Amino acid sequence: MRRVFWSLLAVALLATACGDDGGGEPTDVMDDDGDEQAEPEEDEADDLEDPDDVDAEELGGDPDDIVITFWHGLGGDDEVFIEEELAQAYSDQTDGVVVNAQNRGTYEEVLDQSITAAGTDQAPHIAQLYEIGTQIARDSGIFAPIHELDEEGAIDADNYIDAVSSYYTDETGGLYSAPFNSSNPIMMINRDMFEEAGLDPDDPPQRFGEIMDACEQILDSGASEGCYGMPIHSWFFEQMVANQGAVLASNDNGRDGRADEVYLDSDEAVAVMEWWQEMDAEGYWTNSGAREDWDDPRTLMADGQIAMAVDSTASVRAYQDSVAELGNELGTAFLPIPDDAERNGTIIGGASLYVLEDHEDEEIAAAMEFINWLSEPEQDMEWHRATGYFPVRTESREQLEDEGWFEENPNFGTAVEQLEQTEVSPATQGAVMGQFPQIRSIVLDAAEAAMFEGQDPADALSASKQDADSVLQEYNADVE
Amino acid sequence: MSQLTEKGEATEASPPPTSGAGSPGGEGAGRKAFAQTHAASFPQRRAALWLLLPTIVILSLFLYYPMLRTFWLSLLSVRFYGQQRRFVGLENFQRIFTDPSSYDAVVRTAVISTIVIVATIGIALFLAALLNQRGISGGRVYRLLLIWPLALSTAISGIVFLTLFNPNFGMVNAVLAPFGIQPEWFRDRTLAQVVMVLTLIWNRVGFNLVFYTAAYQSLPSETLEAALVDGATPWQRFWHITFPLLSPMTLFLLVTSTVFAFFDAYAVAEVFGGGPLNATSILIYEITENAFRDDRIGLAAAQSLLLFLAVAFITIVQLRQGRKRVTYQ
Amino acid sequence: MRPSRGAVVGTHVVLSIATFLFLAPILYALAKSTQDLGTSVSTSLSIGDQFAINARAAMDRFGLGRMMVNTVFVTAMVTLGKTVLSLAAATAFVYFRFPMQGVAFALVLFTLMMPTEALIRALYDLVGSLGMLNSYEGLILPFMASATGTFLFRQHFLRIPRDLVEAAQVDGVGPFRFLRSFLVPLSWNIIGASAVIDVVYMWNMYLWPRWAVTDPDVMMVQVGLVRLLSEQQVNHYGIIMAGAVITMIPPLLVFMLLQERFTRGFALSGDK
Repeated sequence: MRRVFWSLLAVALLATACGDDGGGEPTDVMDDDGDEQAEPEEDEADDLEDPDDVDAEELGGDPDDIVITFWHGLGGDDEVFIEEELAQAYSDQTDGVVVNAQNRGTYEEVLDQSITAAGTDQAPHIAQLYEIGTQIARDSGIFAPIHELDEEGAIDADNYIDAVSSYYTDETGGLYSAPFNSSNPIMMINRDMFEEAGLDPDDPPQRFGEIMDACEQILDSGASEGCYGMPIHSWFFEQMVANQGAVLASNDNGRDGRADEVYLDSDEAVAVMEWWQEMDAEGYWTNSGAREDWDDPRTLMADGQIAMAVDSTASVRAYQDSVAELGNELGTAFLPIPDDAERNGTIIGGASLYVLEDHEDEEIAAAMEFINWLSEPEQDMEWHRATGYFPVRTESREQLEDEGWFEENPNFGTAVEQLEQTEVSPATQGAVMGQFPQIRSIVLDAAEAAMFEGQDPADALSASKQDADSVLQEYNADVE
Repeated sequence: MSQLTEKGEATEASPPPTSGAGSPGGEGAGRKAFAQTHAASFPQRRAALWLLLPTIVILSLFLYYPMLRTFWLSLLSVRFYGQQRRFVGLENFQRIFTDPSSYDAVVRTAVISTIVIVATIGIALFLAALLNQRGISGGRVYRLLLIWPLALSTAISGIVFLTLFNPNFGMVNAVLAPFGIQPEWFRDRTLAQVVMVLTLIWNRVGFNLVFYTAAYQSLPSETLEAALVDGATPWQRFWHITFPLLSPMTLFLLVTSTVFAFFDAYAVAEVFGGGPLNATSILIYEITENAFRDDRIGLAAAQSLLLFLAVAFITIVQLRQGRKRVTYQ
Repeated sequence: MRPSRGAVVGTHVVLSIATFLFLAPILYALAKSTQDLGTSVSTSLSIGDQFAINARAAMDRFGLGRMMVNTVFVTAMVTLGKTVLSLAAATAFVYFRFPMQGVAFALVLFTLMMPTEALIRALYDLVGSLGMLNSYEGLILPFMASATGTFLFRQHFLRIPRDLVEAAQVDGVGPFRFLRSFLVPLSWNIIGASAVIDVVYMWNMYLWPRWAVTDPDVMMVQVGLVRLLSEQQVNHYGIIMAGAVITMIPPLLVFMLLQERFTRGFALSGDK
């Protein structure tokens, strides 16, 4: 259809430029002019042929190779790595299979586009979907669980770090999707600023209260003009709740039957929101006020305006580099937790790989082989080193440890340690529920009301709970 | 006044070309034209078909078909981006008016859009009037500089303003610092809306200015000179002669600015993330949130239709008002 | 009667202030685009020497160069397509009599009130089912026909003396050749004016390209820049602003090249 478009366009332009006069007038010089006018357009169109509109041959394979389409949602250097180092390398070394990896925008867009394309010839074979799309992906019925496709048992949940695999298993205990890029939140500190303020960078604050005390000390000492940074993002809220061992949604976070209630008003949730409000009101937490502004803490840290930031482990490298540019050194610590709570650990974030059901058997088999290859320790470790996302296989983590990688890169070490110390329970498995993306935005409604308008955190959260429950219950009613 | 209007009639054929589209003059001329062409037209009907076909096909496929589909979707509850559908009748429409947050969005959109429409046209008209006074040199230079923001896409204007008003390193707060005021622009609903409105006005005034300037240049100089001889004050001349002569252009700009304020403003809303507390989440932004992120396509379709009807209604009202007021009639 | 000296000075003062206010954000973007990472996130307005570095980072490393090419290409194709199709449709309406002409005309007229944006999801599904998401076709095709352009040209043609058609017919000139050899040469100013409108329209367009294209290889630059900012890829405002500054260049060139034609296009319509 798309190729037809260009031909039609060329014909239309030619027809208008030098079409049949109907008057029987013999063609003359004017017609040649018309030709010239239309042709450059065509040439240009060829030059700009979309790179994703390709067949196996254009990807360097044989014309009758199987093409596996892989839609992902990572940009920048991660994208280059996926497309060139992983997909391309696999295609080169595998006979008869070519992997066409395409960036389809954000995770949200990959989810929408995959479901929309399902059942058409546009549909990808593999889609990389974010963790909060889990329930929607499963309910949509367009994906086949990995554990059903994986006859050889190559992609086994037991091969993965528990905290990782526990998120992606379904009620059978098998993996529904294959873990791929995993991260969780971690605290970054500027070690030099800590020293300047008279704090011990080797013993960074861990508790909410300790952080506020440290902030006071940092601001008083003049070591920096701000103290703490973090995107105003529901992900951090969810993590801080789970860290206290509390579930976010009913039925054990949706792991034991469909979740139909969101516990936004739990004591643990209120404790987190109260801290957010206080940090903000005291001027300890510097933020732009914009929603999900990931750049904000990074910019502030890079500019030396703050001494601590909570962000994703996948950005440790970026922080390390930008703090080094200030001539300072980066340190890391576990996610902050309320003063009297017991640390349970964090939920795995990031995305996993899903296989679309509606394809030829041999294509699905080829897609599974590619996923299997991706999960092999060698690729897993390479991925971790290049991007900062976790090594998800137990084996690769052990190998990296043996190589002394975490000693050389202690900040990555903290991230992995936090993951390993995580107590696997429904709380740290993370919630699986419908409309999660929308519920995230409802959580931020409460955060904004508490932080910007001084509303009581408990009131704000209970208003959000009502909204969240109603969208969730509506979803459940539609699905069941 | 009547005399002046008669003179104005000399320019009957000069409503701005683009406004001929919807202006009553255009329609009238259209009917006349069909009659005229009878006398001198090409007999090859097949050729006419080929000339018209691409336009008709594209408009049908990419406007009329989606329009009909939007009607249909608005009556459904849709899940999984279309994989699952259920007929719900008018439930989606009912919801727009009963759900408080959805209703708030309607009000918010009306307020923000009205300010943007009035301000972009008012400021552009004011500047055009100043630039086209007699004896003002350097008009070209001013004009070229004033329309520069037009070269910046609306979305990118949003980025520039987001940075300008950033509380930590933005220029605006740096300028305000000596006065001891440090507003937190994106933490206050009203202030965020102010920044949004400023961005839109800044981005759009140039467009309207270009059109007003062009309109000024086709004003009949005899009429203006006659008024000068009459000894009317500049204000009288503007209000009683120039403004009425410009009214076809004003009408055209009202229509285009309406579309801009209701739809193109999306770019700024997205850059601002619709917040804080949904303060900059105008209807078109809500529609896309529902249609894409929240997987509520039925509700989005109902909101789309509402917005479409609102814009169509406003356009028709403006055109009808215009028919009464536009003086060349 | 010339305005008094005081009035002239007053006007200049007002115009200067207005010009400053309208230019300030652009000057700010220009200054920021020359600064290094540290300076770009401070309130400093100093002119640095990093423009070339920032611009190269924006164009190459963050792919805005490719997106600029995409935007120019899509804009050029839509402008060309709209011009050709509107000229053709206007010719059909003015120089032919055919059945259902009034209906066809009304069909075109009504689309003036149908902004694509309001139909976003239905259009998205349609373009998706044609396999045109993430493709140039998906950005170009839905915008090829233009009610505005059709009316613009139709109105212009109505002012061209009818004798021309009769003369053409006597000489045995057919409709296509008539359009090409007579109407087009008589319409360059209008074509220029409508091209300016089309370019501004495409350069500003955001909603549709933002959802229809999520692949950076096909993306339009205004969408790509917002994504760079929101998707945790760049925290260097020097680079963002360098990107913003570069996107201004093509429309400015178009304004300069076509400004005369634009104004004359209107003057012409005023001449009857």
